[in-house]
Amino acid sequence: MEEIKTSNIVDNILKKYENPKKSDLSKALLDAQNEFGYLNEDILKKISAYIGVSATEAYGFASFYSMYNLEKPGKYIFKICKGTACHIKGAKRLINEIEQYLGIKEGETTPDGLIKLETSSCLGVCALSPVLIINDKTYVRVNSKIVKSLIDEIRAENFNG
Amino acid sequence: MSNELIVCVIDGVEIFCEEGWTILDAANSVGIYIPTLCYFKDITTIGSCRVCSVEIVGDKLLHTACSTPVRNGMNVLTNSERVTNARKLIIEMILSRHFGDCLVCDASGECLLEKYSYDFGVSGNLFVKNEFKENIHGIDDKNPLIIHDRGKCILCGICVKVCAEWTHRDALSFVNKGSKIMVSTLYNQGLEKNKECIYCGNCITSCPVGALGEKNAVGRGRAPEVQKVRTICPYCGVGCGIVVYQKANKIVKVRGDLKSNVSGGRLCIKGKFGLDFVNSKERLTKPLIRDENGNFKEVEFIDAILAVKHKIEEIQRKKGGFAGLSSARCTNEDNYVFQKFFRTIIKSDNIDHCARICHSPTVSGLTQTLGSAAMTNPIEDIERVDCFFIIGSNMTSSHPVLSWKIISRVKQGAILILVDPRKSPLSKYATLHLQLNPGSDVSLLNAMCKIIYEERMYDFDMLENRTENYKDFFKSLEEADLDKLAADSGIDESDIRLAARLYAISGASSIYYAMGITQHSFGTSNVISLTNLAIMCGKVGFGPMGVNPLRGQNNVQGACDMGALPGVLPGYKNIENPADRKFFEDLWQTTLPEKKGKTLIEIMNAILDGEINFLYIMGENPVISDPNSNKTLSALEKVDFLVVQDIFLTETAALADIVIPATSFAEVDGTFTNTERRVQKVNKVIEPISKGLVDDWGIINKIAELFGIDWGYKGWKDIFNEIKRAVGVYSHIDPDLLESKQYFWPGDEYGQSVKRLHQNKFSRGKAILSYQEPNIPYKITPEYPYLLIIGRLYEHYHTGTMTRKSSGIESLKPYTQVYINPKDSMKLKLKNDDWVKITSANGEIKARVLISLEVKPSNLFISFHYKEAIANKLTDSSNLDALSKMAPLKVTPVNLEAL
Repeated sequence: MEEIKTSNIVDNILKKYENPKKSDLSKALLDAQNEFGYLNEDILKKISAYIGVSATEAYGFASFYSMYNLEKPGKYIFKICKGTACHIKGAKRLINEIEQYLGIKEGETTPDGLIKLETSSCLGVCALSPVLIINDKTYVRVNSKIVKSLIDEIRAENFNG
Repeated sequence: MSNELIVCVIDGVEIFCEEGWTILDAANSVGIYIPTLCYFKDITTIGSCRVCSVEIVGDKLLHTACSTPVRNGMNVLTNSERVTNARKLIIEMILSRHFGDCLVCDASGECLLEKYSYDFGVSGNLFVKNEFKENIHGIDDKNPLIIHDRGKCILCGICVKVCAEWTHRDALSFVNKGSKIMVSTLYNQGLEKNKECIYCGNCITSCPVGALGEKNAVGRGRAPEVQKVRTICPYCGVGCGIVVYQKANKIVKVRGDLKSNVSGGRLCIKGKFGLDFVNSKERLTKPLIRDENGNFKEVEFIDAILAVKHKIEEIQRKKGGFAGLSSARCTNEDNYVFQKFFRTIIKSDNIDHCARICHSPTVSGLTQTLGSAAMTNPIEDIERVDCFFIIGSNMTSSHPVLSWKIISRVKQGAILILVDPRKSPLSKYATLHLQLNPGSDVSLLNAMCKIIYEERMYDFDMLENRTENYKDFFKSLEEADLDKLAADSGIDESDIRLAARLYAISGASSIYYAMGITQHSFGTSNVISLTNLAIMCGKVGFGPMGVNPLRGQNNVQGACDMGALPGVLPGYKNIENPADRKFFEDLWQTTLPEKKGKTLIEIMNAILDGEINFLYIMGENPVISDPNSNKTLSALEKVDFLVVQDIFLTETAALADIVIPATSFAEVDGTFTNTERRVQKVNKVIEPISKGLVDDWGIINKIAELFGIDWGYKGWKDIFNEIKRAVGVYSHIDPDLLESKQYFWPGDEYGQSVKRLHQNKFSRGKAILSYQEPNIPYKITPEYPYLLIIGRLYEHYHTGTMTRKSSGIESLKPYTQVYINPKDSMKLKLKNDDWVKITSANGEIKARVLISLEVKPSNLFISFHYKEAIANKLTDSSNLDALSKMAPLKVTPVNLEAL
């Protein structure tokens, strides 16, 4: 049922592009991403077939631009600052430890789709480094212990809920 | 502008150029060498590797030779110090992200990067490699056939272009950007999970380095120790050129022959990965003969052929009947010797081969109307056609390389009218797809003719000057009832009208057809109706327009040319015509049977009636390929003496009294004639896998020698020289030049090949239009409510004797599936891969289900490759086409039950 629903929504999005040109691909993909948050294989295939390019080509295209999410984003996006000040305060080690704790690499999402680990360049609060942003909330002067407890908290919350 | 003379100077050589040439073209035309990596013929120029950089005097920048057009007065240096230094740096940079170890790489010796490193003295140590290493995404080798090592990839992009432009599959693409860029598949799933990849392996053929390779060739030999032999693919009638790599008398791998005039290097899965059978352990090496208990025992070759000789003499004494089945899989020479043996020594004309159940209606139909039963146009004409009318051909499966050329042309803007009851893969590209009711072709074609007549879209000049009886034809068209014809075909009149207009009005329209037209008991009617359409619109006998039957097997055209048909002497001479017979009696210094012999199915019936006691089968597997397998089986069991000459113990050979092992295509020299009448040289790749193995013609020759007859054949050339005398249309062919020159039959009075038939004059003089009454359509009954269409899959070939020996291909399609529309599957509560029983009036088989929108409701589709589910057990062999004796193989009313 979920697939049919997705398919219908994509159909609605594609109605905007009556005589599709190849150049409409970027806009259509972006529209779909705004609707679903990311582009999965089914969505990509449907849009590319409508526009008239092959799915693989569309995937190559979307993977070129960082504005497209091709994987389901995690519910919580961890952004760890890698700027100069945070680096001096041990951000690299922090990232390594979190990577180990979550069992994923930077840029990846945990298999349960809960947490996505990202890094960012300087966030401008160097005095409070190292800095971590989870979704819209900023945590400062973090260390691996704090982050691990935050992760545990998130896991517990979502596990129970 | 276009007539302006372009003269440029490259390295001091003055070159007269044609419009649109690049510097590389100009340099190649006079043999100046410019190194290239990302340049590949027949794809759009990429121009990304920069290795072909050259200096244009007076220009600050270096330019890529592959993508810079020549200008008048251009002075180019390809070897200056500046150029050499630049190339060195470029190769260093490419090497910096090339993580291959040449010591263990299968491409070593053929790798262009390795060659250029050596040529320019570059070691790859200038730049640090490590910073890229983390971004190289490892090896994709989860699929059974292709290994993709991204570490070795130099990102030239040839494979991406070849996948998209040669095969139109788009399985590969560049993914990501910057230092993370790689060649990958949709969502990096690998080729295995990617439905787009059809394992044609053209990416491997085109890869300049070793990033793509054949999985089962890894570690089995590379350039200096393998021997490369050019030959012809033994599968379908297209006749693609292949380069076979052999080491220690084993085939290591196969690559497309870039110099082939037919395919230009393209191959499909069968040619690329399907040659494992040659070195298969299951190959027969010793003759087998039945002992007292009826079990096979191995004997020496001489004992086997002596036994055959004694049996022939014994049956001759008893005045028994003889019959022989020749083979479209064997060379022209084999077929020629086989029919000669039967006609001159056994004195029987009961010779046939599988063309009977393939294109015999084409022979009977086209000879009646046009005078020659072959493709009117060469394959290269596809590039000049504006409107393709493709009917009854699943060409993406049966003739993949040819279909890709057609799709290329369609992508350039040509119109494609597809007539097929199934939504075959080609329908994706069709301008108009008419999903007619199976077997209603005549109704549809008549309806189109009527519309063309009514709307006066016919070609009056053609009808007046080059046809005999068009007025009668027009009269019949006037009387025809368009509504009824449209209703019978199951297509809206408006769609038929559109198809008729598209076909009649387009500049160069050409018809391509195959088994969907011929394999009916009204096959000849179908073929004649098709030619009616073409002649009426003047779309035959002029330039690239024509009527093109696509022959199914590598040498079915040749086998017919060689006279492996009852009543048909070599070169389509009639055995019942005294003059023709006299010609061959003089040539062969003997007497010939005067009456036309029996056809394939008639032979089987005659065996059951006790009229034929001796059957000699060379390289065919009628148990699986012939209609009504149960009947074929009982005939083969009943016949007094059955000799089978084959490379494997096939289902047919298992019933034989004597099995004589033969050589495969890779072990012989000879010729094949492909679907476009092109005669091509087959070269010996390896020595016979076992010592005592003899060529097919050699076996027959040896038996003839036992009868005290010496034809004086020492090799294929002796036979070919005799064929030149026997078959008029082959007389212009010089066997020594077969590899360097292109030969089509027939030859004209100057000894040149005629590529296009019927130009200015039809082979029979004036063409005939003959209105065909629509046949009785296939009817579904409550007892048999489905129409089963039998066809082919892309992966497998014919009776599966060869492709199913290839473990890689077999693992892709290990079992047969019957395609069923979701509407029907829901009614029967079937899921994918559920077992079902299919029954017809003739037999029953079991198969698994594949729910697919390819088939219409109440239609089913199954392939006939699998011995586990012999589709031909269901087909009927009693209701034959009156003229060609074709059986209705294509469509059978059946019932389907869940198990």
